[in-house]
Amino acid sequence: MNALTLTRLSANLLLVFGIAAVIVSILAGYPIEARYIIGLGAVAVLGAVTQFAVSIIKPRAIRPSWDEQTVASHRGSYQFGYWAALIGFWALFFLSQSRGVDANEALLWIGAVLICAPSVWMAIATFRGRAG
Amino acid sequence: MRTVGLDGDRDVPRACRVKQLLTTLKDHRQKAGLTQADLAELVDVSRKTINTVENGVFVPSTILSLKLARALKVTVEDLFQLPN
Repeated sequence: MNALTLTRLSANLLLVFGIAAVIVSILAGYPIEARYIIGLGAVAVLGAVTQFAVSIIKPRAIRPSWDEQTVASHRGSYQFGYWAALIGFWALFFLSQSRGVDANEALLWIGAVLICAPSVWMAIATFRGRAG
Repeated sequence: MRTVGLDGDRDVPRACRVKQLLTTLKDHRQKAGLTQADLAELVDVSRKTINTVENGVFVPSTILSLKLARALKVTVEDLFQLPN
């Protein structure tokens, strides 16, 4: 596993564990808070910056990490993110209208979905051998 | 050549069925004495991609097909065939 694959997988797994921790905390009765989303966003940005840095430092070695299968999985992750956000938006919209879910909380949830859904897809793709 | 019946009433060359594509990449790679990692390095993709192409999970682009054929010194048609 080369440096970029390792960096990308680490960042994606951190986000997967991050969103899992947020979900567990919500299930335990704690409200979702802005700092959780800021934390997830910070991990995502840091992951992207690290991957960029690795790409600059080892441009030749990372080529297999961006082969056509990985690019296809990467594209799939954004499609998944789009549909997750769209479905999430409508679900939260109706919940906020009918069951009194706070609009601020709904916005934070949408943020969590937008940040984490593509990473969840890429982490699964990597473990299934669909991304380098 | 060993054959397997994939569509019941007719035989097709021994190959892995990939949706609308048959591949004999694994046979040719082994014949060339290469591991998946060796072949991956030759064509600049990850070993996982070679694995999924061989197993019929991923259909390669024309460019990758040509690179694979060149690396194994065969034609693209030797590696990939349409079922009919």
